[in-house]
Amino acid sequence: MNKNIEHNVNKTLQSLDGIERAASNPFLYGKVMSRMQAKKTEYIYNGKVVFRFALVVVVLAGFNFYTIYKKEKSEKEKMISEAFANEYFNNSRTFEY
Amino acid sequence: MEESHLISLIKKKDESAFKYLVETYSDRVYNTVLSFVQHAEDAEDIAQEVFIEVYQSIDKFKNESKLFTWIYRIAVSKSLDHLKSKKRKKRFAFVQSLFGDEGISLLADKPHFEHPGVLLENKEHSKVLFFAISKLPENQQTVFNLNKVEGLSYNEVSGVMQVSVSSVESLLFRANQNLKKLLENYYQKNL
Repeated sequence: MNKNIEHNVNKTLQSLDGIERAASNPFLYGKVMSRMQAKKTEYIYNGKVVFRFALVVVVLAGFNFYTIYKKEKSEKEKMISEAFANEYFNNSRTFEY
Repeated sequence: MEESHLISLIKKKDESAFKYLVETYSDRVYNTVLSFVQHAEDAEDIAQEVFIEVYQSIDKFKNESKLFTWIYRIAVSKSLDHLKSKKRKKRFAFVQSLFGDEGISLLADKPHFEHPGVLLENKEHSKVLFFAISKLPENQQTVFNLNKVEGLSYNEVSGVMQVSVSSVESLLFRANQNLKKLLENYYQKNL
């Protein structure tokens, strides 16, 4: 290896000798607390949004079930009426003189 | 303040205890993160996330290791996650540039980071060293940063990384070998 390259490689590997720890922001604690508060608010806000959305889904689903129930009930009543009518008219014809 | 007392206060969400913890460990956490991410603003951001994680996960701390070992572990983990995320964005930016997206510029891949704690006469060479460190495999990078930049002993590094002391020695040896190769290549092209 070229002497110059070797010299630079060694100098580079030794360049952390005497390194001191980097100092953090003196207001780090305040920033941590603000960030935690912001996350809490976001969580509560998201919770409200999710709750409202869920409520809308429940109401719509409830409305759908009610509509289906009403439709089925009226079809059942219609079937009963038709069956009764058929039987009545058929029986009536039987007794025609 | 005694460690077990500090932990029990933080578990009770005592703010003054948490403030004491942040003030005691802020430089260590920041310096550790900075050695990985090599960017002051990102390091500050991640340091905040480390302390939030400590606060929220303190109930999971089982006293099987020292508190500072656990905190360092979180700091290393968050730093490595950040680096992985940065690499993913870089790959995406590269793919976009292939399709002629003029707005995306690739991050310059050359020595740029000046650690504020490095002696003045070593600044230029340390830039190259940190560049080379960033090219090491994760484990080697971690051992090197914790031992050489943060100043942890082999025992302490082994506690943080949850490996044996002999593994730490072996990883450090390999890191030094790889750094030598990287630096030789670098200086062959740049002198």
